[in-house]
Amino acid sequence: MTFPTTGVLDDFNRADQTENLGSNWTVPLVNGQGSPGIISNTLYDASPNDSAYWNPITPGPDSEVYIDVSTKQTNNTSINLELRVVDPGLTTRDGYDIRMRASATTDAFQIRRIDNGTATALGADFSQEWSAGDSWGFEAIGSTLAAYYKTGGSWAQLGTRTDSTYSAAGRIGIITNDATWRGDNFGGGTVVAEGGQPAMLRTQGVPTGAGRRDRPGGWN
Amino acid sequence: MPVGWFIVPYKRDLLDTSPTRYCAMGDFTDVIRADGGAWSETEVLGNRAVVKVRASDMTLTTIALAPGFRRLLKSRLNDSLSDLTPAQRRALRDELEAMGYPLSEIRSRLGNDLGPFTLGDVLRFAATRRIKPRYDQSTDTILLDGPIQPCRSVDSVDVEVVG
Repeated sequence: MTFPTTGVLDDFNRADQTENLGSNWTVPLVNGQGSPGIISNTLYDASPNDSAYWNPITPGPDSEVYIDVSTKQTNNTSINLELRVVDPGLTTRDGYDIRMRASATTDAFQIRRIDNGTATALGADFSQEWSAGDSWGFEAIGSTLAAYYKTGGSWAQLGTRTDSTYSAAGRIGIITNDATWRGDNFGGGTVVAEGGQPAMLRTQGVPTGAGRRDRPGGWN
Repeated sequence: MPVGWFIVPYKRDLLDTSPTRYCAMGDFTDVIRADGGAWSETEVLGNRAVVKVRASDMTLTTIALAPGFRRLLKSRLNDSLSDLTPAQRRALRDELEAMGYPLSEIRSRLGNDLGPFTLGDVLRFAATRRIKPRYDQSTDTILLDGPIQPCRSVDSVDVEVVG
């Protein structure tokens, strides 16, 4: 298991913005929602229930998305990462989603299929506590959807689910539903095969180093 | 550890800010895990899922009592239905009808009596198709009135949860 295989797309290291992430982001990802903003070089939920997708690329179909947790969200709220999204921003939005829901008992990851903007959980939650400094990841390879979590510098796969409904390339993005939460280093793209380079890097001229998780690619 | 097959409804997740539903077996995830068990599902017609569970006998019995849940009387896909009573076989056929499969389609595929068939035959038929959901904001409901979509195979559910 290698995760992630792609570089950071946005480190949010720029001036504070309310409900604006810059030209590489399109809002909303979820119909009817607002735009996240930037505060102290991190992503935040600028209005109740914000979402956005990264517009320079349409990764996949084998794709991944991840983000660092700078500040943990409050209990009973969720942050979601999405991939293979088609019709972003519309009521017809399809794709896959992973929901990270904080809880007073046990935090949990939940892999879901999105049909016409409606989420259907796939199987049981994955119980996993997290805290500031950890990272969340989501990957789709073929019909296998995998949840990833990083703490202490090491990524681990929490588990997988199987669904073959949406097999085409699509957008990657994020949904924020808590004003306390802060995120950083949003990354993802087309999964790079062992020893290879993602097609999108070869065809779109991404700066050197963007394929490396430890070297942000400077897209923003 | 024993395994059981269930037909289970989907429920609305009211804690989520966006329209979300989940297989109601999720309400038993903690107790299943406490047994060292697991569950997996495939969505089928009628806002239902076919679910395989590995858990203690006590937990499987408890789950079967939940409203809207039906535990199937066989536990392996290759188990024959021939030793079920006519009433039990008819109840299984009725379950397929309740999902939304026309009786004519059931009879065309499985005949008038499920006796010659296996549990796997019936569950594979149940997972023939499902309906794509959508959210109706005006009534705050999740509707199942979209195009037909394929189901995850019952055999892939079977191999994921081993007894």
